[in-house]
Amino acid sequence: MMSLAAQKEKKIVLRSSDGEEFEVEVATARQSKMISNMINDGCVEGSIPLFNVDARTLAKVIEYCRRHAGATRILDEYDNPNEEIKSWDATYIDVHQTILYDILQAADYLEIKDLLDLACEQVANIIRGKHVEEIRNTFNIKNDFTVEEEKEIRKQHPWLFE
Amino acid sequence: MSWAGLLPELQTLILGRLEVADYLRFAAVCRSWCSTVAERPCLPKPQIPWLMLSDSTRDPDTRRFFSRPDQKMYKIHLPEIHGRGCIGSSEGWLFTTDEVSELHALNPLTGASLAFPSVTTFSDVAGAIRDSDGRITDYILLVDELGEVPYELEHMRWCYYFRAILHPSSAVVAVIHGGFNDLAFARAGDESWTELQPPQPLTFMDIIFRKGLLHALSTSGALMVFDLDAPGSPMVTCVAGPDSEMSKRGRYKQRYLVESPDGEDVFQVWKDTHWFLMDGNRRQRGYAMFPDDARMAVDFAIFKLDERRKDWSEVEDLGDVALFLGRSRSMALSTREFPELTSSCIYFTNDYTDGDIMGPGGKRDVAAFNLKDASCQRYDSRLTDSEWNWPPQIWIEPSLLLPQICSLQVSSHDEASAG
Repeated sequence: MMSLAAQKEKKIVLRSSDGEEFEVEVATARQSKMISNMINDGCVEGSIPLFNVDARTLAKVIEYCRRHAGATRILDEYDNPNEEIKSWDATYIDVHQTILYDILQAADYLEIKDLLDLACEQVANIIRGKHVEEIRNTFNIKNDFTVEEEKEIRKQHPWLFE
Repeated sequence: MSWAGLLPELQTLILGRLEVADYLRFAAVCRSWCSTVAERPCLPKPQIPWLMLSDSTRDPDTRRFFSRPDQKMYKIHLPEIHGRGCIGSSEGWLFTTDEVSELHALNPLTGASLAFPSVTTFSDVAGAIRDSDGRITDYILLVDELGEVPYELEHMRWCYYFRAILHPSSAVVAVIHGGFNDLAFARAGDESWTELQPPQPLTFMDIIFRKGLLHALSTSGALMVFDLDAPGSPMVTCVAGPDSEMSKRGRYKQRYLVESPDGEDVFQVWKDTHWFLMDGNRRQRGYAMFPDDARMAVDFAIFKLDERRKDWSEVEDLGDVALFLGRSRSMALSTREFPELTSSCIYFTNDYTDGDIMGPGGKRDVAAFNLKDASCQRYDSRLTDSEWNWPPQIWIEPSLLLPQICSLQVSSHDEASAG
């Protein structure tokens, strides 16, 4: 059994799908349930290859894990989310859509639940409160319904389109 | 990466976070998104109930629904409820009574409807009085000591059904009904209502389904639990009301039964109301009953059930929970899940039933009562006093029946292949 101090100093190497290596603290790596399980099973000699996460995304995910591992308190004394972390999270996740989906997929693969929640909520926020045409513009989607289909959809829920 | 590149289960996770209106708009963006909703239907998360407003004067076939999360007023055309009385809601279904007091349910978003056994099959309905044209004018109700009492249709359809709830998964409807607030239930396909007989006669104030069992709260605060699936639907548990408080809380006439969002706890909530004389902008307390008087909430008391000790204890606040009470199924939502709600707040509509007999008279309060400081605030500043009148407002959870979404998709395909 490794002492706590030794664990603290020990680093883990993560290798992105495009071959870049990242050295991270154990506490940071343990934010990922998948990697945490590997550490527990003693399968972290050498570097851990992450086939589904490229370097750009991995750097971003490590940034999140490092902040959350370093946070002394995620919850305040009333068990509410720490305001400081909340505001850090909000700034962190305010990224371009393409990066947002990469983070989301990586958080799912690496089993980082809080990050997955954060990213899902951010995508949901992009959709929320928008008219259909606004959503199309935001997501760069072409309307491929026929005029008749569109009419039928509007007829089903006219109140949605007012 | 783009939306289309996301794993389907991740798309589902995101869709599950949307409000119903956003979810429906999502399906209207393009064919592929429409298919996403149709092929991997995920029920959107629990929703903050919409408030169905009173106003029906301008167009009797249209109702307005205020959505707090969207900050929008939706006008929904509902020809189905023309001439109907809207008496409550449960699980996204609006309960209505027609001209002859038959009970119906309508999902205002999908247009789906449910029919129930006839009012004449309740054990306390002895018959109907008809005019010379054969139209029903009154029902005859069996009222214990008084014998047979005629109930006028208009009175009957507003007051006969005190509460109606649906079981979320099995097709069972339960009601509190009649002159003495009795219990009855029916399953899909039943031709008559089945009465539930507690060991001694009780007047019931609220019902909920919890862990598959029907929980019923009486005026004394006693809780009775019935197993509708067992032969004879026996009562399986009974917990006496919070006795010691009764004398102190004599004014708290209204009772609600509600399950905590995590399903762990049961609360009973008592509401105290007072008459307010309406005299221009000036309000004072009083007991007179003039057409413009209003009976409004002034306080609430909450008791939590200890299931092991079969006992209730009064609680001062609800922690991270907000309640929605009124004519709808009593609901509790987590304020962690819905940060836009205030914790320990009771959002209520005016469900004072004597007011229903008086009709469009006094103002009806729809407000948020904060248990922490006993303050009361308007539900939303954009709703004006003129909204609070008749018929009474109802909370309703916006809910989608999945078959409706699928049929939207099917019709698109059909038209596409035909074209």
